Amino acid sequence: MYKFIIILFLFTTPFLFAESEHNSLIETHFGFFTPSIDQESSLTTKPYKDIFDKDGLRFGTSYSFEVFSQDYLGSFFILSGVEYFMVSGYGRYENTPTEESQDETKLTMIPIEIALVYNLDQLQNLLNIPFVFYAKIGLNYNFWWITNGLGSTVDYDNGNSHGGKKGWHYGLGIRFLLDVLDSDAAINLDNQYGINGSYIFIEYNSSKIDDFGKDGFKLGGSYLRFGLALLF
Amino acid sequence: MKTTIFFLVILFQISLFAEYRGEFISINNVKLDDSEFLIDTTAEKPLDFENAPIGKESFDKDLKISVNYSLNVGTDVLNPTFELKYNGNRIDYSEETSTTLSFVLSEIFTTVPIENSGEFKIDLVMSYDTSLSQDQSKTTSFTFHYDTVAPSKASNLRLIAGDKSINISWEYANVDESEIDKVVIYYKDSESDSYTQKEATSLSTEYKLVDLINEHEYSVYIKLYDLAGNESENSEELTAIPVPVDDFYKYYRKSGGKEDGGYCFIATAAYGSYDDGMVKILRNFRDAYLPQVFIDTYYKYSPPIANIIAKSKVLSFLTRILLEPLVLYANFFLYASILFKFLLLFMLMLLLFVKTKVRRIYYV
Repeated sequence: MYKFIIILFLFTTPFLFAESEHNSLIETHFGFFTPSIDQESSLTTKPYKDIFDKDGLRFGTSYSFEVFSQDYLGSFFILSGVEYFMVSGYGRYENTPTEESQDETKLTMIPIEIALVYNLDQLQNLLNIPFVFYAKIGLNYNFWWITNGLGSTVDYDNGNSHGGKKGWHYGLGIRFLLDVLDSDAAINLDNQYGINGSYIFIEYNSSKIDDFGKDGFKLGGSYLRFGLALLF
Repeated sequence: MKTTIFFLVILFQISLFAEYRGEFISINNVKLDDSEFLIDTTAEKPLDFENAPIGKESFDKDLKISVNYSLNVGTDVLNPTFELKYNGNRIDYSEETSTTLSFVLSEIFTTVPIENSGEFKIDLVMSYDTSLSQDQSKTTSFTFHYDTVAPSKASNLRLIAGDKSINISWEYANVDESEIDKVVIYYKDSESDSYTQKEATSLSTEYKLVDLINEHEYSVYIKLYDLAGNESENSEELTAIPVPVDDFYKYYRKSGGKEDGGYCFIATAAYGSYDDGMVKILRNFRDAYLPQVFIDTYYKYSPPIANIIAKSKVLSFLTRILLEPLVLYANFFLYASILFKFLLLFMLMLLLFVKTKVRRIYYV
């Protein structure tokens, strides 16, 4: 295990040494999300609503690096990220499907994404207004699996209860620069750790994860992300 | 003075063993302060019985306690003899060996009735002479806690049948929960004659029986055991029948859903051959460095992933691009010398240090 930890350390170490002229952004976020599973046209009921009937917690982290920046035009970043989503509910008795059993069933997803992000950061750079509007568009691959009351994935009718779905997403958001609240602390963060700026943000994120229109799960949906971002 | 010196070189190492149903519970490293002849409180565990009281079953089955001792004394300690006492009265003990005294616990309470719970003290007395005086003695004591009261039985037993499983819940009524050591669940299939046991952790109030057979009737009851090993009466016995349950995937498919799972990823498919050099590097890296749980998951899920990649040239190409950095890292970890790895780590740390310094200068 110690080898694995060393590897993780060395894998992430290069991020610490990103040159300041090539800014990079690390963010972590969370939100409450409902996948659009019930919108599949072939469904005769609404299985997600029947079993779960609630949002699941979705959280994640991402790393992005700057590929273009110009004071009057803004900047472009390439982003890669990973998230985790889980929602749980109770299964239904096979002979009486309207009756809820005590067996917990869970839908879990690990969405990974790669995206192009445009930051409208002229307000911050030219007018010192601490807001950055941004937009992103990218591709997703969502690993998913469903477990039964015993925590196992059980296949059914030649179908696997685990898999992955491709798709795409876009997002619109606004970041607020926290440095303006305490500029001394911001300078210290930069001196000590090389953090050029710290932000809180809110983002409207919408995705369509259905293997680009094929039959099966529709794991996309829209939700609000709340998070913290650090600019290096 | 001379006597004092002699006592300073006395070293007792006495161990107590409780022989119970053929098993030894050893209390090792009980050391005595040679000058005061008291239990050394720094000993590893002076008396294990203080944490686990002696229970009713131990009395009923005539628990035998053996006191093992070894003695290293100066030559001026003469005729040392040992005996055991309870309430100042000599206990009838047997000499198992020249350094072992044994007695049956229940026999020492024949004259003094034992309460439901409490403690009793056994004295170990050493009598001896020296060249300067006779009839010297020293005493050390061992305290035993006991508890012969059985805990009340569990109440409000409930069974909820699930898919090949039964959820069991119960409550503790009139029971000091801190004294409960374990909960044992007894269950049996209607077609079986004997009960199977499962142990729940102490203080739990629920347990899930799994790997049962659907549509079979199961009988279930539970017993509580306290720290002294006293067992409660059986709880009421209930029955339940596990039945098939649809999890979300099954329910979705029965509702007309068409998702049939599957993945896309994996190096073998991306590089086209198991024997490709890149694949070999990644495979060796995986086996040498990644945790077993990761590898187990990999083996469980990789086959369907590989199938899809192998069918798509575009996916194979993209996967190769994604894997290139990993191959580079894997190559480094597998084949670079330890010295080189540490050198690289040192250089990275140095770079971080220099970078921090430069930033400070810049802001100053």
